[in-house]
Amino acid sequence: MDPDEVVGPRFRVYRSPAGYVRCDHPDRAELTGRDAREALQAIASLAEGPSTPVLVDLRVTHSVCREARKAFATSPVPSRIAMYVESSLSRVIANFFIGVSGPSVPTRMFSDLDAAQRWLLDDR
Amino acid sequence: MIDDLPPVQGDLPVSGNWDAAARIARLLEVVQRFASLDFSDVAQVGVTGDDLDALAAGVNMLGEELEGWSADFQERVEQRTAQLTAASERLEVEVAERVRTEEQLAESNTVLSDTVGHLRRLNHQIVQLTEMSNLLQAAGDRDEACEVVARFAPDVLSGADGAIYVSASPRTTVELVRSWGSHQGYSPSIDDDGCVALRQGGIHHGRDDAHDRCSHHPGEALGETLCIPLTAQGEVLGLLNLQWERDPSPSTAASLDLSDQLAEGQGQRLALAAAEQLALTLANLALRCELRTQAIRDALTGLYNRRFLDETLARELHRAERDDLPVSVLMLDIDRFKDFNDAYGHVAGDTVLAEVGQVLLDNIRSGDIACRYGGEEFAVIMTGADEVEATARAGQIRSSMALHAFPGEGQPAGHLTVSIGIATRPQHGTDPDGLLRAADAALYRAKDAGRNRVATATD
Repeated sequence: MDPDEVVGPRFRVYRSPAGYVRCDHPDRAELTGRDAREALQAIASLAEGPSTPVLVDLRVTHSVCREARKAFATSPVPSRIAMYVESSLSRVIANFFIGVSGPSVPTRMFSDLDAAQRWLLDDR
Repeated sequence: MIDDLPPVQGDLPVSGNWDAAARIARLLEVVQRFASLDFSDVAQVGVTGDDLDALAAGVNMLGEELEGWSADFQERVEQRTAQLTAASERLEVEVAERVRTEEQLAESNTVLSDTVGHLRRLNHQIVQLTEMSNLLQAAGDRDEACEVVARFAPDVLSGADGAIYVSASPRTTVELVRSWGSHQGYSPSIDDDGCVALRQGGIHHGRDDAHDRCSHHPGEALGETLCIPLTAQGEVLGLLNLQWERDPSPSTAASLDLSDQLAEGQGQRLALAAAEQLALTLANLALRCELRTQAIRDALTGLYNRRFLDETLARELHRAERDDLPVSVLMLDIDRFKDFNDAYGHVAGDTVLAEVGQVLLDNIRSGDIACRYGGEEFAVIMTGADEVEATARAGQIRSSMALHAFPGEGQPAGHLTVSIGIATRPQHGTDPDGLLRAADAALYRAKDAGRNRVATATD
């Protein structure tokens, strides 16, 4: 396995050459709290410091439970979070995370991958 | 209307041809359950990810948050309730502690108030005792001293009734001098057998039990008694007798009786202090009286001495001048006393002098003043007696002397005579020296005329 990649039951986390960590989910994934904690642990293992910019691909995600949203909202591992969306469902999930879960780090929703990458790396 | 919609088979997989109205109805049903805090169901999110699926996902997430918030809220309510309960319990403990502290404070305050009251009362008693002591020091005689004690005793001794007995002379009994309070019927005199305190020489506290009380207390009196011997320098001078009826009601600082103070040891100290003051005063008065007697009396005959004669004659002449009264002075000398002394000795001579003094006292008026003038010479001051009356009295004295059988120890009893000279104010003098010189001159004329006779300054 690529040392820059961690794959779990419902996530794949890997280091992007651009300098952030990306988290993808399988199609129609229903993320639980355990999934979120394992994904964050994987992100931390790939980070080059105590924290790292994270891009979360929500385009095919079916649902994210409250415990999972809370885990991401309170984790110190991401220095900022860009949520990559496409469908109405993924937008609702992203908006809900930003508006209701109240993440502790800068978080934005993008439908354009390049824009998301630029925003993530602006902070470096 | 939602009720008109076909029933939703929630467990069935949502397919692409799912009827939009049915899906909306299903969402409404879930929202209504969430509104009643029933989170047992969720909205089905289809595989298409269309707007209705997004709406369903949003509703589900809102439900999750609402359920979480509800649980958090419930937890916080329970935590806050537990905190409030704990705070309430602490408050109850603190309130109980404060109530207990306030009760202790109130109790301490009561004790303190009582103590202050007792101290004030004791201070008042000590002030009264001090004033009594001052007045006792100024007392001129025994009766005045006892009157002072009787006046102050009710204050000093917490309202106890009492009586003062003073020793008779010689001391075989003590006699009632003064009493105070409502009790009457004190014994007029008490001998040692009648009082435990006198018999044992110490204070005696009699309680309510009649067997414990001395018999000299008034029979009708109930309550407690205290007998304190009045002693000074080891000598019993009298008895202070106290009695009081114990108040059965709870004592306060204002109603404290002698029993309460006795229980605290204060009453007995106060009574002892008063008794000591009175005893000391009585002893001082007795000593003063004895010194006075020694100063004005002749030790051998018991008559007044020359010094007293000089003082008294001057005073009597002054009074006589003011009241225009006659005053006669008799000068008396034992005839041939030197021969008697030479024959029988000075001891017999002293006995004769004492006998002459007694005969003289037996033959003068009660108001007359008999003095030993010096040696075998005597003088009598007779205020209000003119020459005639004085001459008659002198004649009576002379004849009584001549008839008196003087005892002699170791020698035969004999008879002695006296010669008397008389001088009377105003005709023979108005001042002491002149009158005494005139009487003395008359005495020598009586001697020259043959002794055993009376001569006046007129002769």
